[in-house]
Amino acid sequence: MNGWVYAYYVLLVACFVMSLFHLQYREVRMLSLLLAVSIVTEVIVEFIGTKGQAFFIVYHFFVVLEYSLITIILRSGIRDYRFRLLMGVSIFIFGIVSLFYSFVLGGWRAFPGINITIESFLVICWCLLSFFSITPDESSIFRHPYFWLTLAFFVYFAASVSVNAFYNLLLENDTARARHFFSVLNSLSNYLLYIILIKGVICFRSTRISL
Amino acid sequence: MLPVNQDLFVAVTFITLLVIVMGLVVIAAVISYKKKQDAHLHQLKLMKEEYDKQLMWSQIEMQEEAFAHLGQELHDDIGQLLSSTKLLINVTQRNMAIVPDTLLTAEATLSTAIQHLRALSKSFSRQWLDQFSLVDNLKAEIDRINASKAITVKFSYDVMVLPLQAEPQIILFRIIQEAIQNSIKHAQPQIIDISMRQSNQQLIVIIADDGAGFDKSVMAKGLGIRNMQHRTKLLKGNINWEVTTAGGTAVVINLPLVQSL
Repeated sequence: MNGWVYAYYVLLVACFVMSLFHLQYREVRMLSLLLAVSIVTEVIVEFIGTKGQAFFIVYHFFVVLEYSLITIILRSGIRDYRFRLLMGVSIFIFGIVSLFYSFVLGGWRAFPGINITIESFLVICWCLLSFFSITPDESSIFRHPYFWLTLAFFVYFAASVSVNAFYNLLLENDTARARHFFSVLNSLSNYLLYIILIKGVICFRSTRISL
Repeated sequence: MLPVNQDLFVAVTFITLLVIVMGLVVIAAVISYKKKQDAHLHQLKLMKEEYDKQLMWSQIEMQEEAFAHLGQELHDDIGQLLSSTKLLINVTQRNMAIVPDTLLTAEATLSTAIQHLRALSKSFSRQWLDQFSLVDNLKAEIDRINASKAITVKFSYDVMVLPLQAEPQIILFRIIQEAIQNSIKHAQPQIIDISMRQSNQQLIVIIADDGAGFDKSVMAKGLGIRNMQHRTKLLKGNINWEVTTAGGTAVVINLPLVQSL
């Protein structure tokens, strides 16, 4: 592990700890669960990875869990019944399709790249929807927790999709440089994700106080 | 296949474009929120204004009800007691060979008290207010005050029929009543001059006195003053307190007559 990864773990744990202090909010409870699942996944991956075993299977399940929890969090900020229903249904459809692809078509030993790409596109769609569905009140948009949660997921997934799109192209020419490039950008998007998520969690408290 | 450097260049360009697109999305979301927020706040403001208006109308309704009740009680209870007392004095006078002057004075004073009481209970009566115009009501009120001979109230006007409905006229009447009462209570004036003029679709009412005046900087925002301000606001007008050249106080009320209030 290098410094980039350590910093990522630190931020992940910090965000998780921060969320534990705000468990009275349903969205934060979901976020805590998501972060807990992420931490457990990283620990398992590290553990299995050091033993030289195939650890990609963990990601096949993680993708489904991650998508479900993120969609539930984003769904909380949307008032339109039709979109809420669509998002709810998408969780089941994505879960079934993703697991079917992993275990029947792609195989659980392979990296779930297709699953992650589909997940990313769906999450980006929900983020766009969420951005324009924030219910206005007297306070600025920058004090809305939904704005920050949405921005966090949007930045992370939009960056991931783009980086993944170029990763294979770069990998064919210069493997070492491509991996380094990927590692840096992936870490940066992860840092942004957790920093913005922390801001979102803090906004839950400040919004309630200001009201 | 592209050379590595060119790949990196394309990648960096693409990521820059991505950042720009993401930034634009966020800016669009912020602008959209701001527009919705403005509409929401405007709606809230309208609702609050409507609520305040309703609240003020309710308060005025309640006050008018209380006044009407008080007027009725004055007329039916105290008025009757005073009339009975006057009757007893008259009976006593008839049974006496020589009526003492003190009893005659008492009878005259009692008559005056009954007259004042009737006038007062009349001014509290809602029916009385509905039946007559603001000008007539004011005249009656002024006559009642002038009858006391303690001060002189003058009234001049150039509008006979006000283009106002009954409710706004009652509100304006109560504002003027409050101004007169404040003047009598705090300024000890000899003369109160009330003028009512119509100019450029505006009704201008001035209640000026020659009393002690007031210090504008330390003018107490008591319940009476606030009531007058709220009521004037309800009529979409404004009210100001000025110090006259003679050192007295002038209450200046401006009301728009464009809208049918």
